[in-house]
Amino acid sequence: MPRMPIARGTYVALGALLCFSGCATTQSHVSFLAEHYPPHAADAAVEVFRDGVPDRAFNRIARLDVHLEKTGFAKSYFAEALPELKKQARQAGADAVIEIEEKRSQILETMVYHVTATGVRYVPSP
Amino acid sequence: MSRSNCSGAPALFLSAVLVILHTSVATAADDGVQATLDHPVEVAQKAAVNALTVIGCTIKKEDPTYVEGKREHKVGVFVGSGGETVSVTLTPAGDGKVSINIRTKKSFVGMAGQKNWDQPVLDEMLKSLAAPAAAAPTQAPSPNT
Repeated sequence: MPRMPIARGTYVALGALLCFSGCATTQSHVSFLAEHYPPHAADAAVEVFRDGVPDRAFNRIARLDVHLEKTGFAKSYFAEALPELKKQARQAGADAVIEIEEKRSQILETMVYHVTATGVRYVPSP
Repeated sequence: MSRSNCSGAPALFLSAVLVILHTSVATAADDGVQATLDHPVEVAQKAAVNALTVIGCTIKKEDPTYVEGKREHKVGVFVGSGGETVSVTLTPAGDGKVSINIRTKKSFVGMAGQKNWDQPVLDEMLKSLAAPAAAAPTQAPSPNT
């Protein structure tokens, strides 16, 4: 019957899709440390300091969390979390991101990657 | 049996697997983890929210003395993960202290890919409370220039 090859191909494609794509989720959270600030524009620059702190004076204004989970033993990396981290920073009104902490764990086939950082706002020059 | 009669079986099986992975029926709960912290309830509540965020929960309820989050179901190649509901109940214990009770509820279906988050949440809360930002949440200028 000519239906079988087509059906078999569909199942193979579905299986491959499940095997190689799995499921990926990204969650994020902003927690203001004290005062709330207005958000920056969506295209505003956000400096990211993986080590050290900015040269100029700043205030820590928010805790930023980005959480990525992928099934199928697929790992996540900082580059994948970075756009969401910057987005959260802009929403918090932060000019830069410092104190970046990465955490990895695993639940069976699910690879968990979490980034916690501090959003800072520069103190205006006098 | 004709081959065409069998052609729907894998699709049915695949559909059943997907439905099972996506279905959530809250059932099992543990006894939880209890602790007393040397922090005011409002500070501990904030730490609880942070801790639930770190383990991948979406915050569903956020009251001054109760925080609840849920981990999303993730479809996987084998078992996936997620579906747990994690709660932190905070009770003021006087002298600026707070008693907390952390509990994880697993859903019946998909339990194989779930874990108990009580201790990890407590660990994250303690870490969050020890951080300078949590201990002094005021807008303090950095000493750097």
